[in-house]
Amino acid sequence: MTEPLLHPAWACLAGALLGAVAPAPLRRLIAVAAPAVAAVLVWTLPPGARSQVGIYGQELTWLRADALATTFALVFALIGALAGLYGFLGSRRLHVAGLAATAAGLGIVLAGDWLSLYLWWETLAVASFVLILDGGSGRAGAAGLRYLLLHVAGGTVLLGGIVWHLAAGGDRLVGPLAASGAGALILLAFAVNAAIPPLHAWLTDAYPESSPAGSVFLSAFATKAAVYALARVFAGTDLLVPFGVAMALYGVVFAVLENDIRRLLAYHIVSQVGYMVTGVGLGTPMAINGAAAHAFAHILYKGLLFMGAGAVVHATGRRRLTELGGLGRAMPLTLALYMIGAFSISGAPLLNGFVSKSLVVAAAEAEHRELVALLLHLASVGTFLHTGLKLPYFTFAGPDRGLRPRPVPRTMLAAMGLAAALCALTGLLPGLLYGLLPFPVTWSPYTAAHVLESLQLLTGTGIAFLLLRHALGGEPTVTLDTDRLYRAAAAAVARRLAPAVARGAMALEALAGALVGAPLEAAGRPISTPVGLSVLVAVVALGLALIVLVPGV
Amino acid sequence: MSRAVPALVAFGALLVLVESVAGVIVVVPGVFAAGGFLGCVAIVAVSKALGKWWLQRGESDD
Repeated sequence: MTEPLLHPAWACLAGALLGAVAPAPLRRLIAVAAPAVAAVLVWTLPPGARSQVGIYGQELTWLRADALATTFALVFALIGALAGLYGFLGSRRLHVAGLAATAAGLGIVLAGDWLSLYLWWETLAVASFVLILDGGSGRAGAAGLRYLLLHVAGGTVLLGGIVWHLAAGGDRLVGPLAASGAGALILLAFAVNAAIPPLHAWLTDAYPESSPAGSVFLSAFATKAAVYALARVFAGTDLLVPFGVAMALYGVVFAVLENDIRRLLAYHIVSQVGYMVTGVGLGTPMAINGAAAHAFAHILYKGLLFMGAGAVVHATGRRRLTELGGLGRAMPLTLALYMIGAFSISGAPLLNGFVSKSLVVAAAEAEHRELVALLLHLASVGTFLHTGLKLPYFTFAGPDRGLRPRPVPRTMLAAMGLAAALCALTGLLPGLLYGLLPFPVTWSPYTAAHVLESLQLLTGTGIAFLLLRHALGGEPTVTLDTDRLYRAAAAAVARRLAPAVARGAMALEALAGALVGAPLEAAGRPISTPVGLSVLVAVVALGLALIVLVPGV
Repeated sequence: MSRAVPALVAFGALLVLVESVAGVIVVVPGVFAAGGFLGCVAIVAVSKALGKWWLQRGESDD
């Protein structure tokens, strides 16, 4: 069906534009209401709806609403509203960038054609960059710049793959591709956003540096939009299975060493996205359902976990396990709500992680991939060890550091309460979640064997933690990750190229001065060469953009 | 690094062994509790070893 439809992303984009100029009270309401409206719009989209628009001779399918797309779109809109409520008292920058990121996430998953997907993809990179800057520190600025550089590079690879694909006569609609030629480039770009090691370090570098609410927004969109794109384009690509399993284990291994509470949670994003990538690689209807269901559940419980950790950072101004402890008495509600997220991510029965993670594992078992299922179980053990035991123990129990936390705003607690309620609701009534998925679900998570299996895993892990907890406290160290390699290489290349770049810049400045500055100076208006250079660069960039994007130019 | 190679080989051999008997061991009562316990110990041991030999640096180090 092709008909004019109101794109849910427009609600958030309009909110971002209004929020940029509205007074603070109105802006705060918009930050919550616009994604809520988007959620209603997603919910009311007719199944199979499509909407197209022609721009400069290009036909864009800017909205395609099938079950896979709307599953992701609904949870993107929900977390946008929850994060808006959590960051209700935040800055204008947070609200505008959060709404723009929500719009971009919705745009990516609802995009029908490659060009629409690319435009939203880059919008998300820029909005996420601004969200990282909301951390307000020098570290946030540096991490944000690294994030932007890597994602612009990834976006450029994506654009290259799309142009190659279209030039070779490929379908303009986003659909299945082989992982070779243009498909390989597109897969590489998706892998960057999905944080598949060794391309993952931007995530653990940047997410902990944002503001508490900024981290909640960030935890939701980039990796899960990439999971959606992988599921749409590369479902059944077996190469993704070992990478997914490696992700699931990589995150838990690094989380053991981590001292920063939000970086610890960031490593568990890598781990949990590993389950989704594994599901996409398996490619069966059950596995794709599992990937989509786990993305839905993950966005809610991971958002809740980042909200809990953010509340601690907000209340104490501290972020390292070695500086925290004994907060349980002062922050009991934060602890209780955090633990709902922690049990959810650990796959405890009655919560949403149990009904989603088990779909992926069961899909692996159904394909007789016992080793894959076993390693995913092992990753689940590590998940409970860190997010359910280590982090809460050393933050809320553990040695009392004499901290006097300031009160957590009610809007933060309300957002955590709603996120926890959604985790419980979709865990208690899995049919609500399964009913959204792209394929019919015939599998039931609540069998006696499966419940006992999960409880046993959690119990065994708990006993081991009790025995090993003295070895698991944070250490005042930093952990080297793969970004160490490219950051060192980039610095070396920059040192080598700096003289040549400087000479080139001086030559460009001279040229710009001749082209732009001289006529203005002749007209009696002196102009500095840096401004001239900026104008020249802007004109060249605009020209290139026109050549690339507009046919016939 | 010299100790990491045999450790990885041993881990690989263990995976092959587990893969071959996975269908048998899951029917043993309490095996998942034991698996949770041993998995936890293994994750901590491997992570701590990697951290000590390779990955961890002091916060003031470059």
